[in-house]
Amino acid sequence: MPTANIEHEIRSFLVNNFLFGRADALRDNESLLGNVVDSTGTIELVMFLQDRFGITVEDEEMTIPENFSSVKNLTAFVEKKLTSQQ
Amino acid sequence: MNSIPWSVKIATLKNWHLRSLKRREYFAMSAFQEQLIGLQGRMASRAMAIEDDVPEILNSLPVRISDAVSYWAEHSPDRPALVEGSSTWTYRQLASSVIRTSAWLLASSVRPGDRVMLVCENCRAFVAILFALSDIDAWPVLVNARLSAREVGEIQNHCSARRVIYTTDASSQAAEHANRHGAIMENPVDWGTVAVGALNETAPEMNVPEPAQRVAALIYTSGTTGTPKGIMLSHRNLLFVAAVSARIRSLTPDDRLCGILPMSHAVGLSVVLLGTLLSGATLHLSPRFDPMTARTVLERDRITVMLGAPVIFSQFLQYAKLRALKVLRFPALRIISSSGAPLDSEIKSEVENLFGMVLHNGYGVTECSPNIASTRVEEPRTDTSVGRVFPGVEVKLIDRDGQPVANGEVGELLVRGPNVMKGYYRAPEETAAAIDAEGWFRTRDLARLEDGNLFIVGRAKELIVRSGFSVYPAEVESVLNSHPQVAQSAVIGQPVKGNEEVVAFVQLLPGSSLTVADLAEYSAQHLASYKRPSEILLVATMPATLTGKIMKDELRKMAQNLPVELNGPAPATKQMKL
Repeated sequence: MPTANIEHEIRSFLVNNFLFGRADALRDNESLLGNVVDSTGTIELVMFLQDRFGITVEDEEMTIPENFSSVKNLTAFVEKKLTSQQ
Repeated sequence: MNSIPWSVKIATLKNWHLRSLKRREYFAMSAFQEQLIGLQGRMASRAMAIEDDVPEILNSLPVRISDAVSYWAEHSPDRPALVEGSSTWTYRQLASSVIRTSAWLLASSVRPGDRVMLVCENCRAFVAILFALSDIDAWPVLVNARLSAREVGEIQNHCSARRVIYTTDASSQAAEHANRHGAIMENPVDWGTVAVGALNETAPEMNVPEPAQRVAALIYTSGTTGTPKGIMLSHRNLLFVAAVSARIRSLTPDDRLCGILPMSHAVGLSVVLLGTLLSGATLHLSPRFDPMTARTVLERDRITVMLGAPVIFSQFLQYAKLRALKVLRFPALRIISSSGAPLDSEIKSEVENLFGMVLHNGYGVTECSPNIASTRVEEPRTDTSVGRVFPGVEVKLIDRDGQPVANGEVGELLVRGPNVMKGYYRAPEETAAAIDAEGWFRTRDLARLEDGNLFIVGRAKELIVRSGFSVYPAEVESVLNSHPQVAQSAVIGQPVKGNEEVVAFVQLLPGSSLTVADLAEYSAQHLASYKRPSEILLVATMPATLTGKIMKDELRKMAQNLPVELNGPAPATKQMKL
């Protein structure tokens, strides 16, 4: 899946599920966990990533802040997981 | 607040050291902790009522919360006090850092009695600055960085903060506030970078009162009403709750606690942070919670005690579903406990099955530092009672006329004891309305006592009187929450001509296809007709405070704006997004 598509899907999910459809509220460099996604939304985000991209997000990967520090980093994380599964 | 001249640092260190040696409270601290160790040994050998020890605990409490580390820094200096990520701070390092942080604060024109705001999330910089402020008799004003710009601004204005310090390393939201306020980044000690706001030259200088009256933390709460109030908690308030809660859980230096509750709030501050450090145990700091990270920490760091809120334990249940796990076992874990919001019986039972251990329950309010009741390790409950009244604390239940209710009856809960706050900051009328001349604090919560165990029924002002019958929202919420596809619910009363109606807001679990009609039918199966919601609204999320309490005033405002037909049957579908 092209990078732009992955990013678009992640953005759409975040905007529609956590920002009430306000695309302008999602800033490029904003850390996702604790800001856009509160603790009650973490599971929802992981479920989305697993279901939509067919990857498995390991618990230990949640402890690495960089993975979720921005939409771009999350996109890179998903891409890396997809590549490693091929 | 640039680099501190060494002359100031050395002078401050000397003063601190002399004061430590001379201070009566320092030795009292040693006495307290030695007594704690001795009593824990005795308790291990025979059953012992904690209540009997309260006078001794009160007599041996130190003056300042910062003294919590003194004893262990001297007697077990190399034991770990705080763990943050891959870094560990021993008691020696923590004590040393507090001294240098005190010097930095003094050099930054912070005076005894000044209010200094800490816009923070859990991290060791927060702990060092908190204790340093305590040591120089300034007032830490604890502000969760997740508050909005408006809320932070209101608090800053109300408390006339001399300085505002933002724990930017641990919190991107603190960094945002700092950036908006034009704060300067500094790295003055050994706990990373913080941002520091400009000096407020107009902050009035305050006299430092005698020790028992000194404020250890000013915590603003909007509760569920939306109006911020500054709650002044004294050193004695916080240390009393910390010491007794540590005793209840028999904490020892071998314990490792999970610091997931925000330390800018009362439970995280008194029970978790101070309770851990008074006991010489280790606190694993986490700025925010997610169940995946928490599971990793529980396993890797062999956590022995985890205190959380219902929303945290709900997240573990969702995590188990995600991973298709029937059990989650952590061999070192010996206590899990919930507080901060009502614990639903379904959640309690499911969590107990998942963890294979009792989920304890507790109740409190910030004004009571915050503990009022908790279940005891030796007396686990199968229901959702919040347990026995906290040792050393008195309670009474009164009716609407102020008269004591009959045994087992519901009444408004009043509390008196060493946990009750000094008052609301700059709000003498509100303080007088909350605490009467005899020292009784009105919780505004409805409760009943059964065999010495407390049950919280709901908020006094939330009681719904429908067609002359009393409807307790907590009961209706409990029924709705018991539906397997419901994440959470909130019930409010909606005034209509000559009556009051029951309106329920329901948040479904992700992927649920449940309809309002399904929920109405479910309510009809489990509730008397007068208790059933006449309106059910499905919402995407609930407006909640940072501790997970649903903000019912927000829901009331929304309900007022809805074109509802309260006396008609529940519509087949009705959805709104908050």
